[in-house]
Amino acid sequence: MRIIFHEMKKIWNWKILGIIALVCALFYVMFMSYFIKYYKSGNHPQAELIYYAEELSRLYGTSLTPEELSDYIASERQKLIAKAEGYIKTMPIFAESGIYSYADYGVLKDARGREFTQAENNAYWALYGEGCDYLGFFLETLEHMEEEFDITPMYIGWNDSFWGILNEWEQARYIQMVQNNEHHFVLSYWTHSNTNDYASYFAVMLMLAVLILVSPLLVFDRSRYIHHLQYSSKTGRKIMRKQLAATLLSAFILTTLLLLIFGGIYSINDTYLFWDANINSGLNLGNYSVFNMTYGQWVTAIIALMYVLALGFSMLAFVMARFSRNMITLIMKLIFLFTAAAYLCAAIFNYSFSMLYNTLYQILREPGAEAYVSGFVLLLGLVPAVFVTQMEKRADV
Amino acid sequence: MLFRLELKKILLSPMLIVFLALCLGFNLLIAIPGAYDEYASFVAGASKTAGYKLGAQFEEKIRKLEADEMRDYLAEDTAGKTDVFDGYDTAYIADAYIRRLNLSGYAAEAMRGKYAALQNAADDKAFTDESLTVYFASSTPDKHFGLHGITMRVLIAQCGILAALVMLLSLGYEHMSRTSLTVYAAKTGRNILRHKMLASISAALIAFAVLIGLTLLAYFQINDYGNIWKSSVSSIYNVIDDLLVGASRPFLTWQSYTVLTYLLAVLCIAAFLTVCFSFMAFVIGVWVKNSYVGFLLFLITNAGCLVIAIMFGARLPAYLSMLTPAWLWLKQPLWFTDGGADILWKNFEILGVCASLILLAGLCVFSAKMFKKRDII
Repeated sequence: MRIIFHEMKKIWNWKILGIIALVCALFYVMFMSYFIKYYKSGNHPQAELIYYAEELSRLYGTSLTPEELSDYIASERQKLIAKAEGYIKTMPIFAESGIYSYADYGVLKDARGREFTQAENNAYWALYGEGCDYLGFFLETLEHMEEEFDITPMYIGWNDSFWGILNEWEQARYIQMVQNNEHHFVLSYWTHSNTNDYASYFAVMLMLAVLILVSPLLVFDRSRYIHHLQYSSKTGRKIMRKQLAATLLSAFILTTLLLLIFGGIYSINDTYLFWDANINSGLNLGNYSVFNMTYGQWVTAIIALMYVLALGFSMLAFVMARFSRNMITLIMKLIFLFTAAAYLCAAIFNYSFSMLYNTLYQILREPGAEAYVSGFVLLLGLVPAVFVTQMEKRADV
Repeated sequence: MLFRLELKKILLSPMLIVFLALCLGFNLLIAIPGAYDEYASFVAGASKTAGYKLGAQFEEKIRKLEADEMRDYLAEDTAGKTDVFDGYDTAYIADAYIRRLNLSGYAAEAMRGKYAALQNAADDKAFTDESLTVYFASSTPDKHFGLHGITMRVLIAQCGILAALVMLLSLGYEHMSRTSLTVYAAKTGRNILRHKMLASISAALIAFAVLIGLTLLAYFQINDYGNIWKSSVSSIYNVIDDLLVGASRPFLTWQSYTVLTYLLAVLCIAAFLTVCFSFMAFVIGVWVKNSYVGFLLFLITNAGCLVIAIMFGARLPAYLSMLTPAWLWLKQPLWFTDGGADILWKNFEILGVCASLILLAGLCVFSAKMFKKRDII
């Protein structure tokens, strides 16, 4: 244990940690901050659907019946229309196109198929603007929620829709989903999509950070010919096993640290409100999962996949470092390893476990394909790493 | 003599050859395969008989081709086209940017000035009916972006990384071989940095030529360009999607370029950009002994340049950051055009490369001077 601890001290040196901190900070600003800054503001009707999903969670818990939703929507619609009437009566932009009440606005809205005059166009979009508190988007979102919440059963047997491309197992799973009323849970598409995108970028950043941290260990030792001294003793011959253990522990600890930091930042979005909501919610716009799982279980599963991939790639980096004569050769190999890791993360974490949207699942058509591939990466790293440590015991130096 | 020896060390390094081979493999497997387009290939073939200039003669020659679906589609695609630059007014672009980004003061003035200057280029193109060339007809945006937005960007990134690796390898060679204490103890030894820099830049440019040459050779084997080389790159079919303006607009270059001369111009700037990356790696490599940390700092420096624009939005530091090598690489598909909303100046790619070269060369000279006086232990 003492040797493992000292090897870890060599891995966790302040220069590398400083660089990792900088890399993560830059990566966050470039790719991830968007999903915090614009989750609840800036995009419409994303903000509105998230608002209503949160309200429904607070009032009804994680699920509700279509009748409860209809009652809620009816009451909300009344309040919004009353507010809209207020704006229509006071803002001249509506009067300029002959709109004096919400009923008049409704007539204009129904005539969307024809070309509007400039005044009509201004009046139509005014209700969607900041000046009217984005009422148009709120009303539209209520309409959309009413249509989408219970639409899931309608796709059964509808061959012109995605139902036509599902295989037997998927169709059976879909029917089971409807029978379990999984679609009656509350989880907005934007919450799932936002978490998915943030997690995808986080996974790529994690792989980069892990590779930067663990890769130099063996090359540093070899560049100073320390391995000659180490291999001259029986204990020294086993040092590679201890270095492998140190590498794995370091990858694990770094993954945990980064999850705590960037997960903590993500908690600003309050998506924990949907922790127990089923991911197959009708409000998740057809993002059906191959499993009956909640949002919380999905998040836990992708975190587990990140751990598995981080350990797998750290072992691959370990093996590559063993066969690198100098840092430049190591960097050259890491560039390609990281490129492969980034591509794999994009495939695995793009709506993991989704029946329709995950690339890996679409290719392999195996439920849990993401987990199998991650496990394969772990094995791909483990087998050569163990082999290399065994070979070192007998190697001539 | 020292230059030749340093160059030999780099060129004979297995690392360079393996890296080039892996990059080439990556390009052939991933970056290039999606480039083939059946319709574009047909257009290129048709251009060998019908030429590249649109008009009545072109339409007549197309009608004489063997009748099939592609021919009919091409005939419909190219019928009755008029010069897009006739009466084209660039002022609306500046107005849209100024309004959407709330520009004021120097930025608003510079933006208006840029598009006023671009109006002259549009008028010149209108005079020669330059947009009435076929390029790849309606496949043009995908084909143009496929070569200049994807393939060239990947190539320039690979060359930039290779330039940095080669420079760091060269600078770290004495340290790795444990000859630094001997070499740097002498005056000639201290001056060896100059030879290392020149050798690294030469090696980077040789690698640039090999990688780009082989990749483009493969690309043009897959994609026949026929007579398309003589088409104008500002063809009526070549457009830029501009979200701020709310519509597509023509790919309007400051000077007139054919497809061939545009590619050659891009390669020329790309070569200078590779030298910029070399200089950057030299400065970092001189100050940081550890090549691993040096390379990471190289990546961080470039990422930092990108982040400046994100953090400062529509303000001067962001506009200045557009002239850094990292942003020039990212804006590569828009080289020799107005560059869009985040560029204030004409010919930003030439301006950026020159400014970067001058600044980085100055830093290189300073770093080399400091190195001569530095303790090596």
